[in-house]
Amino acid sequence: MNSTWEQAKIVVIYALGGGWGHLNRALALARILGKRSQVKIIVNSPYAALIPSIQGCELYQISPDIGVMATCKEVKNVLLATSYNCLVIDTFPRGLGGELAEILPQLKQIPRVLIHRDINPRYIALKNSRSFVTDNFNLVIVPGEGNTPPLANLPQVKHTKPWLIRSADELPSINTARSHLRLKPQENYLKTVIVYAAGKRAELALYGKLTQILALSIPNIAVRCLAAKCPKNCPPNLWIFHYPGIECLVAADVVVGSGGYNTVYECAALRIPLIAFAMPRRYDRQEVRLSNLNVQKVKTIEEATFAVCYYLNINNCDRQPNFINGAVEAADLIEQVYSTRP
Amino acid sequence: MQIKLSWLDPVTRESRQSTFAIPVALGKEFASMPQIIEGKRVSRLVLQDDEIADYHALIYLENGELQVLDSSTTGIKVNDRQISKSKLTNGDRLQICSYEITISSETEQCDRMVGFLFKRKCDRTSKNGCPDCNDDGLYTYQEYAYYPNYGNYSRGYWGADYYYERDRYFYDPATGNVDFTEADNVSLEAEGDEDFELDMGAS
Repeated sequence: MNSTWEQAKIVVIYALGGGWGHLNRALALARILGKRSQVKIIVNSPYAALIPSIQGCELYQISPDIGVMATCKEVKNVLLATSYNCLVIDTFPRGLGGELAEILPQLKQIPRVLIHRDINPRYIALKNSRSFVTDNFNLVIVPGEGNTPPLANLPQVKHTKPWLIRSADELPSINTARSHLRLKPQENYLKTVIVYAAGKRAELALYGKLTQILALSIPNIAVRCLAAKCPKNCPPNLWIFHYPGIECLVAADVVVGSGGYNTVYECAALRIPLIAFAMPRRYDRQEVRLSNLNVQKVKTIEEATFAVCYYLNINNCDRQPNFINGAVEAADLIEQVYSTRP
Repeated sequence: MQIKLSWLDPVTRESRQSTFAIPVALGKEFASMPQIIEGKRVSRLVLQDDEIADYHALIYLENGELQVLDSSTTGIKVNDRQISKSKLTNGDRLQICSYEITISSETEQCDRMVGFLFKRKCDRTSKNGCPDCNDDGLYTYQEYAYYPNYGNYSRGYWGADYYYERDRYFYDPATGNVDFTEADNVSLEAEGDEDFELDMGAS
């Protein structure tokens, strides 16, 4: 951890939260902003330790295991004791522990930007977040989720395409992606299924089991499970870790994963059929996101296996990635906010 | 419950009056005044005077009585007497720096109730003495519980999901009414009471 953040034009991104979503969205933005400014990201995801360094970007890692009070105290120390030119808050306007409700009104002199990923409207209502966001944020950016998020109709909202960790022209070739997946020569002509095991650590066993079942039950396919650690039940030779995962998806014919932000929008950008489990989350509404994008939802390993067979038989030849990375536009919007201030 | 506050603008000498829901915060800086106190939305009155604190005073209810609490370092007066906390009654004059505010405690009680009535077992073991328990076998030992915060269906409010997913419940297209089952009621209550901001690994 580094507490000497006292240079000019510093952007701090609050990206607390479990899983890959908050971390990856922050990194997608930081790698663009970091070319022109200095970016500090506050994170507590257990996956943060696996991230390679990014130019102009520094991770301030809070342990995921220290509890609500200690985490909130550390966030408060960081935000009130250091100087910066812009504060970007991902997803949780009041902070994941509610700690920003006290802090943000003290930071009126600093431009504050909310990244408004979809969030449970009950939370917004129960915590009176509509008026809080109105009073405490200069800009609200909806990262590709359309009008679904509950505060998408606030006057300070701007919409961008989904934020991805790679733009279309940065993606590797299919052959490079295949090498990331460690596909064997005899697998090169087989259709490839990637089980994208993101989300909570407790959910990884489901994906491990699914990988095993797919490999055993569907002939003539290559299966790989993309996960931070080899999940329980997953044959070790089928487990891959590569960051960022989107660089592996380029080689996939079908992906099975969750309804989380990265998984859904990465597959949509690459036009890869996604078969998804809508995992329950306290704030994120995966089922809503999957429904909005007409993604095939499944509830069991058996349903997922059947759906994989179905999608493998669909000829999917139009796969040239040609998407717009919303993180680029978002970086411009955020730069406009803080560059106009002294 | 509401109160009416009347005052003269110290600069323009114009007469002003407004009615506020209680509690009412008074101060110079809107954002510095509390938004919520004990679960109630706070009305905020901004007073333009350099000597007034960002958050100067609070008018609230305590045991059914109006009270004013000084939250500043410069102080407040009620009827020319310096106080830190005082009961307020009809016609009292609250002095905050150059402002003199007259309290009208002819409180207006809004009797409009917006919410759902959910049928709920009342946990009685006998219908003896209960005028609401029926003998028809359908509604015996049941009562309606009132849930005040579940009535707003607008986007961004708690009930939006349930409105847009109303076809999942029993929906009468002729009347537009939705009937929830008892299982739905239990689920709704649990969700309404759900405590957010306690899990730092959530997403």
